Amino acid sequence: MYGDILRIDLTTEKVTREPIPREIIRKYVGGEGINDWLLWEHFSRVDPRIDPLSEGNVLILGLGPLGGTCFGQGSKMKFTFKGVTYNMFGDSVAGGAFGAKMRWAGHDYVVITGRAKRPSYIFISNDAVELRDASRLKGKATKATHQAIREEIGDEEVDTACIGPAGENGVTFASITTSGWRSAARTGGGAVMGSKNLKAIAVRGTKGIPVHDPRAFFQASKDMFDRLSGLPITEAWKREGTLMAIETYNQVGSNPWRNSQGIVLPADALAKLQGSVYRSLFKVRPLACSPGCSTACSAYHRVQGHETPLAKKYIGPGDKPEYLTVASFGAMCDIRDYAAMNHYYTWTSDLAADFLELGNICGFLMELWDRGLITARDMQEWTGEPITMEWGNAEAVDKVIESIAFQRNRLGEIFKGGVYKGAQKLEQIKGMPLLKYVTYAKGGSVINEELRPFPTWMTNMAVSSRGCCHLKAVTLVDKTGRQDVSQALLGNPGAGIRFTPDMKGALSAITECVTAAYNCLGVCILVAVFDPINLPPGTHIPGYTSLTGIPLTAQELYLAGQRAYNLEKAFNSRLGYTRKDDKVCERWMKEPLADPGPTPKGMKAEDYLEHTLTEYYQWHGWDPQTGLQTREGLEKLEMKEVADLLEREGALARVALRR
Amino acid sequence: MPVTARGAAQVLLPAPSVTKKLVALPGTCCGCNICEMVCSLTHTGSVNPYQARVKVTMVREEGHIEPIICQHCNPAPCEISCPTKALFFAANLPGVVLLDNSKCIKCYRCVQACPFGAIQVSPRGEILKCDLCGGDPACVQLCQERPEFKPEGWTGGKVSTLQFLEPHQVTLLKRMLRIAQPKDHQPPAHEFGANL
Repeated sequence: MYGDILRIDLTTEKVTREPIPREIIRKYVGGEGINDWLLWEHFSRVDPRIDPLSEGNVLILGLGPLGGTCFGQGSKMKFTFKGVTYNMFGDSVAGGAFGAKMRWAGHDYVVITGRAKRPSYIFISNDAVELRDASRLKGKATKATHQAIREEIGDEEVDTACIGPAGENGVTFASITTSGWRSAARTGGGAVMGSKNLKAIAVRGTKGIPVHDPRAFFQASKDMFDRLSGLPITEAWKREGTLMAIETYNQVGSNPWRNSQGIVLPADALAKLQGSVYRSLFKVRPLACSPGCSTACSAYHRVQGHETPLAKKYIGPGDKPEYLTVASFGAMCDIRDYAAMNHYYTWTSDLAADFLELGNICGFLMELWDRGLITARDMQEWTGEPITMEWGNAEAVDKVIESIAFQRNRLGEIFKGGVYKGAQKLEQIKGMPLLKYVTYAKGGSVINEELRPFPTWMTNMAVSSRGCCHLKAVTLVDKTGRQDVSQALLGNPGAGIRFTPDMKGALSAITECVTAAYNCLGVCILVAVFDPINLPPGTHIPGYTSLTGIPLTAQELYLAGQRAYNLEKAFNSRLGYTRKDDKVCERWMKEPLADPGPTPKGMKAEDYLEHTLTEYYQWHGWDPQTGLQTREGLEKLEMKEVADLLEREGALARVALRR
Repeated sequence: MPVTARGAAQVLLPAPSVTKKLVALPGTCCGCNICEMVCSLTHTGSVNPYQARVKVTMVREEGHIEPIICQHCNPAPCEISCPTKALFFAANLPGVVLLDNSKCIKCYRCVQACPFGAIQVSPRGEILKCDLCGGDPACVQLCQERPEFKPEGWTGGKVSTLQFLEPHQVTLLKRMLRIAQPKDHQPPAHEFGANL
């Protein structure tokens, strides 16, 4: 069953609790949906155009109904706020046990507003909420903060969501780290938390989640386990998790080699960076990142010091890096050493900064160095140290990350706002055009993958509600040519035909709604989104109904996802974002790949993006001219009040939708 | 009555279910806490690890994760230490120690007596004692399969951390695991992107 909404105002130190309105549960189900509704509710009273680092911003923590249970799909909590990196809607997802413990304390959603007078942390112990002094935690990294709070409270089972040095120093892409090791990165949640003078939120939950029909819920969980065990992909997930993508992406041509200049890793780099290297040299045991996950794609490792050339520098325990860690530092910066990958993953979650943005910054600087556009003198001037940004220089990457997270020097200051704003500043400093060497979209870093040959992914980057991100609509249909999945989702195999623009926009739109539907349940999307044939959102419904006692159909769940995504879109429309803002960087738009590898020659976003965008808006029921929502479409989703507000602010499409 | 060949075979066969042991395979637990959640679900009707009879201990920095489970010892230190006979050997399930909550006086002697730390105490101070779910433990049913640990030739069903097996199968599985756990294994020929 559902918990309640806990509202904490840091300015007035007032705490209120309220049940979730039944109508909202019906419309938005939970998780991302209710988070978005809470955000919408807040910003219907507050001007959404405020500075995201001002007191008026809100930080919403939420976990959907199936999170924190034994349903077998993990517990992925969402942080929702007005984003800092891209200055638009922002949300961020993380594993870790924090969200589950929040639910076990009886709070499904925590809404934090205002700003604390002094550095503080919130301690939630079941019904009791306390604002505690955090001055002695200042400057501490997230693992140390996590441990210090546990010691202060005197309970080893207290869990935390905290920020590190990056968030305290106002780095706009700072993240929030839960349980001391799982990051809610992208979009700058850590910066929002830092601006609220909030170092951490600690929670102890011993009340548990009441289950409507325990027998049926046990059976539903068991059925889900059986279903997962039967999937061919499950074993691979359990062995390597996302690390298997390195080889797969080398086959399809999606690795961002040397700051997205190439598309595949050379054989010797691949040999050092493929997932089996991690398994054979470092992995000690599998690890579930969040309670209730039956896949456990993460792992625990220990670097002994002899495994790779750099290993002796990074001795110690850590957690398995993900594909995007390897893409950000292994591919983008050409660091061919797995010990370094392990280090960057653990270290960036400890500093609590987004490693995609950091990897992109380092790759960008390395390309500039390679082209002779920045020199040793520049680096000396900006950092006070003789740093050479050659490809593969892990030491230099360490220094850059340190400069930014701790805001130590001029270099840190330049890139405080992320790779795009940093590149703009560098353009001014150097007096030459540099933005063409950056992969960015909407004012922030892209995910570090090569996407020019994949129109669906490129469309996602251009339209994603939280900036430039893949997690709003993950699908492999486009990259691996799954015509069967395309047929199942769209009734047309077109999206599974690779390298053509056909149906790719439609796939983007539908996948956004499907992904949001999973996210409304509070589960991990990892296994499900890659196999929507065997794990459509409908397979989660027996678990949901037996847990909550509320009837739900697959169609209603899909609608909830669609509503959630429409709320996010509406939030951005209120900020003035229209079709003209749905675009990607110059490198992706205009520059065809020098070596297309396994993909057709000359693919670039310019050739197909207009087509896929039009299709995307049409499939969402939005106006293709402006990209704005229509009253007709919103009213069909029972979102009249949203349409009214958008109309008042002139953010609703003026034309009637043509079908 | 003379013992027939058939009877002799029956003597050698283990008795059904009750001789089975609930064990945790070392080094395989991934800390998903599902055993705790499903234990509380089946015993209290809510998902709450604080009401579970099984407890996953985790020291993340050392990579130590281990479910602590009741071994149903015989003789059982908890049963011996209980002054009110609230803990007793079940009549219908030989070898299974059960708790009669109505007799429990919350002296926690059993907690002290248990050599494994397997007797849990709820936040309200109640003793939580594993009852093997009457012979089909729910935690084992939902303990996730780990195919990467499955030894070649193992025919005893899914390989997961929690196992409910005949004692001889437990030793066999552990022996096979030790042999079949190479650190350096080749990447699997998996299905991911197979239709490229």
